Amino acid sequence: MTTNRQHESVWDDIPWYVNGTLDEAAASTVEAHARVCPICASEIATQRRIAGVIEGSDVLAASGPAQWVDVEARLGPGRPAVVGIADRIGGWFSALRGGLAPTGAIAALSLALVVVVATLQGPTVYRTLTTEDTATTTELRLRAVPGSDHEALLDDLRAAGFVIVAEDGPDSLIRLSASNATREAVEALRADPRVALIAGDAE
Amino acid sequence: MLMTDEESFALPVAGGGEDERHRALLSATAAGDKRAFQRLYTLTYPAVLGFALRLLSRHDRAEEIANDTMVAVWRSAHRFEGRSKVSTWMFGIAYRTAMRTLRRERGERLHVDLDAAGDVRDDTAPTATTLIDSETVNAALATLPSELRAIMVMTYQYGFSITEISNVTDCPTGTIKTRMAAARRRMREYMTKGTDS
Repeated sequence: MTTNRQHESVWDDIPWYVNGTLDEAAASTVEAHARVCPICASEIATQRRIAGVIEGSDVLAASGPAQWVDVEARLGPGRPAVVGIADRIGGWFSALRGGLAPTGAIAALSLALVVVVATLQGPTVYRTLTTEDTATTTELRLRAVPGSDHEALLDDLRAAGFVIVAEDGPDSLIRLSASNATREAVEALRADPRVALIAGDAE
Repeated sequence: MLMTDEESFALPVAGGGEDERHRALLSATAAGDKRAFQRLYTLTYPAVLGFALRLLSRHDRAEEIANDTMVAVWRSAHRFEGRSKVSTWMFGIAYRTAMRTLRRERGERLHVDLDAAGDVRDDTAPTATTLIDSETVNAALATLPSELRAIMVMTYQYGFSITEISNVTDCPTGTIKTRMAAARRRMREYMTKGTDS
């Protein structure tokens, strides 16, 4: 027997039951209640259909490469996000500016120290930056670099075994099927300088 | 070539390994590694832009929000405390940025009658007559105030849990449930009306 309180609680939880993020106990409660409550059972079905539409809606606008230029310009030239030791050293010397020593000498000394510090720190290597490529792709979406030869790119894609699923002229999103393409062809496509952006669904 | 990784379109919540990768990149970003930040940008920008586009509808404004978000990530990476997924943290920045913009530019306010939200539980409108197709659902979604639309989108498009949405919006989970109930009711009303007309 379900109570009104339980009905309200289940009703509120339905969206997260539908998206699969409820914990096991809460999900079990929803399922048990839905078996005896046609209102909630119907609502689950409705929300599943709505979720399917929203999840599948393509609001994608692949302007990442172009926008990176804008974002990068606002980051500053190599300026760290946090105050590092090089900045601190520069800060110490900045306190002396206009005081005890000529500005040029201080700047030169600061620069030298920064170079030394940077050299001592050496290059930073992040293992996570390596490409993990264990999945095969069946559907790819790409955008060509603006101004590239669209038709030639399409011809090359077909020659490499890709099937053009959809495209709408130069600068449009190109949808490909890679079912008949080799892994090498996919890798070559990723490295193709005419391709500005590529994405796909892994099997 | 700036973005060649197939994950550049990936949702930010797909799999635990992805958050580990985001954390490593964010940590490197906090140390001033611009290449790591660019990689993080490549992996997450499409989702951030897609979310902003859902909230603002206009592409140019959404790009501004997404760009502002990414710049904020660069500047505040060292403040990430690791209590949530990186994607959740980034969506929180995007959400707050978008809401500030909407309130400043449109004077938009949340028009949700929280007292009336309880009525939704008694709303037994026959779902069989509700029109649920892509065009109608997206149109109904577009009619929602941004705060409600954000919750619907985070739940169904990005698969966020109640707790994650609570973190993004900085609202209690009870408020999230109430807003979601209001969003569901409004969408139901819109879709049912569309069927009747």
